[in-house]
Amino acid sequence: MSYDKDKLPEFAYQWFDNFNSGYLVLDPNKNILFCNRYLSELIQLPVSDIIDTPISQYLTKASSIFIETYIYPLLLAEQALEESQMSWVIANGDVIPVVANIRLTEDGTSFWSLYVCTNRDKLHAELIQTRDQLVEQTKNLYTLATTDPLTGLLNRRELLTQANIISHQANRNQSSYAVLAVDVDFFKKVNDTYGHQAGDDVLVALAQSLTVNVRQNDLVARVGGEEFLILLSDIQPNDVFSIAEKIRLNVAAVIVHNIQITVSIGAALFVADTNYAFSHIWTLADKALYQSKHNGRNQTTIVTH
Amino acid sequence: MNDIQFRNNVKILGNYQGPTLILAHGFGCDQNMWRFMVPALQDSYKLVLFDYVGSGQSQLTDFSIEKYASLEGYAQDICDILVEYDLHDVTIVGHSVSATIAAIVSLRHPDLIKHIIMVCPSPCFFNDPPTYGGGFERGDLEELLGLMDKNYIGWANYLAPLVMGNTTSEALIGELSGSFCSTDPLVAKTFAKATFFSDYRDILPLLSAQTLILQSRSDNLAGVHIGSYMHEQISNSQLHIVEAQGHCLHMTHYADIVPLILDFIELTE
Repeated sequence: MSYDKDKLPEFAYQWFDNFNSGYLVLDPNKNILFCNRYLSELIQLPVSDIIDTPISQYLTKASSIFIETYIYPLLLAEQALEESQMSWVIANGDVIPVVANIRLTEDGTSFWSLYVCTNRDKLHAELIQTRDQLVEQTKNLYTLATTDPLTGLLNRRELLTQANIISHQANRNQSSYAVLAVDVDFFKKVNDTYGHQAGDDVLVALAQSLTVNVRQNDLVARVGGEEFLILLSDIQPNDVFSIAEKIRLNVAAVIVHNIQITVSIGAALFVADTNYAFSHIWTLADKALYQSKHNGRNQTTIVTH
Repeated sequence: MNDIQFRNNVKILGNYQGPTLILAHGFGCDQNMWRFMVPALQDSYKLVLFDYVGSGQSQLTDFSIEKYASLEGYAQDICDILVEYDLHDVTIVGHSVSATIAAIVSLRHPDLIKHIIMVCPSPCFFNDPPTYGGGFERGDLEELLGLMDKNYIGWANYLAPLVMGNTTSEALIGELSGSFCSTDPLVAKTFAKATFFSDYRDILPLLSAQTLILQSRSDNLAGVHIGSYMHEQISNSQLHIVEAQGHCLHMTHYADIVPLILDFIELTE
C-alpha cells in the first residue's frame, strides 16, 4: 500500500491540515509516512523533515519502551487501541503529553490520531499524587487500627479478626492450632517499684522476646495491660508444651533496667474434629493460665478441650 | 484442576510425546503473545503456556508485592510448574525479561533445563558506565513507571491500592479490561520495577544450559550490543541477529525465528 502524497487530491491534505488534532501514519518499522500540520506545528519541524524519520525520534525513551512493551504487542494482538498516553519531545526539548488512538492494519502500517493532553495530564498527576497520599494514609491508619502502639504487636481487635480466620481454616483443613495466654508475674510490682516508664520498657522487651521465639505466621498480640496471647497455627499437638516452655524460659532471660521478669503461660489446643470456636480455646487457655498462677507462677499449664 | 494450573492459568497443548517447550511471556502481556508461534511448534513439541501471577488469567489472589518485587518470584512460578507437571529435558522460550527469568530457573534446576531460547533479552536495562550500556538512565525508567500509571489501567481498579490489609487480594480480583495487556496497576508497576530496575548480569557466566539469543537488528529496548554482551558472558550460547525492527520478534517475525529455534534445539541435543 502506498501513501504517496501525489495520489491523494490536494484538498484532502488541506482537510487533514485543518484538523485540530494530529494524524500520523507509520510503516511497519515505525517510520513516519505521513503527518498533518497539527503534528508538524507540535514538533516544530516542517512536514518534509518529519517524513521518513522514526517515531522514536520524537518520543521520550520511556515512551519508546512503552510503545515496544505495551502498545505494539497490544496492536499486534488486537489491531487497535484507544487512549494511550505517551510523552513527545519537541524541537526545543520540551516534553509534551499526548494521547493516541491507534489502528494497525494487516500489512503492519499503523494509523495514529493524537492530541495534546497537557490539562488532562495535570489532573492525572494530581489524581496519582492524591492516590499515593491516600495509600500512605490508609497504611498508617491500618497500622494504628490493628497494632498496639507500645509494643507494635497486634491489638486485641486485630487478633480476634485474624484468629477467627485461622480457626475457620483449621476447621476446614482439619489442622490444629494452639493458643498461649501469657501473663507477666507480679507486673504491678515492677510499675510500683521502678515506675511506669520502666514498666513500659519491660513490656516492649517482652514483646520482642515473644515475637522472636515464634514462627512468622504465628500471631502475637497484646490483649491487656500485661496480658499477651500467642496463636501457634498449624502446630503438632505434641510440640506445644515445649514451645511454650521455650518462650517462658526466654522471657526469664530478658533483663531490662536490671529488672528480671517471669511469665505464666496457659496453653490450650484446638484439635481437628472438635469444631470449637476460637473464643472457646482462648477461654481454656485463660483457665490454664489461672492454674499456672495458682500453682506458683513462672510455669506452663496445658489443657486439651 | 491443580492449584498451580489454576494459579498460573497453565495450558498444555501440542504433541504430548514430544520434548517440552515452556513459553514464558514478557512484561506487560500474557500467554496470548505466543499465539502466532504455537501452530508451527505444536506438531513436534509439548507446549506449556502460562501466565505469571498477576498477568492474564492468572489468580490475582495469589499476587503478593513482596514475592513479585523481584524476578525470583516470577522464576518460582516456572519452578512450581516444572515440579507440578514433572517436566524434564525442558526448553524455555522467554521473551524479554522472561529470558532472564528462564536463566534464574535454569540455575535452580540445571538438571531439568536443557535449552534456553532468549527472545529480545536484556539482563539489565539501565546504563552502568563505563562498561555497560543498558540503554536507559534511571530517570527514563522512573518516567516509564509514571507513564504506566497513566496507561496500564484497569480503570475500575485505579484506586484499588487504597484498600490495604486483609482485603487487598479481594480488591485485586476486580474487573480488568478485556485487553490482553491490561493488568492491575499495582501488579503492572511491581512487574515493571522488577523488570526494569534489576541487574542480572552476574548470573550469565553461571549458566550451563544451551542458550540461543535472538535479537532484533533494531530494537529500542535491547540493542544488538546487548545480545553480543550476553553471548560473550554465556558460555554455551549462540547469537542470531534477526533483520527486524522492534521488541516482539515472536509476534512480528515468528516465521523467521521458529526454524532457528527448531534447528538450535535439534543441533544442540
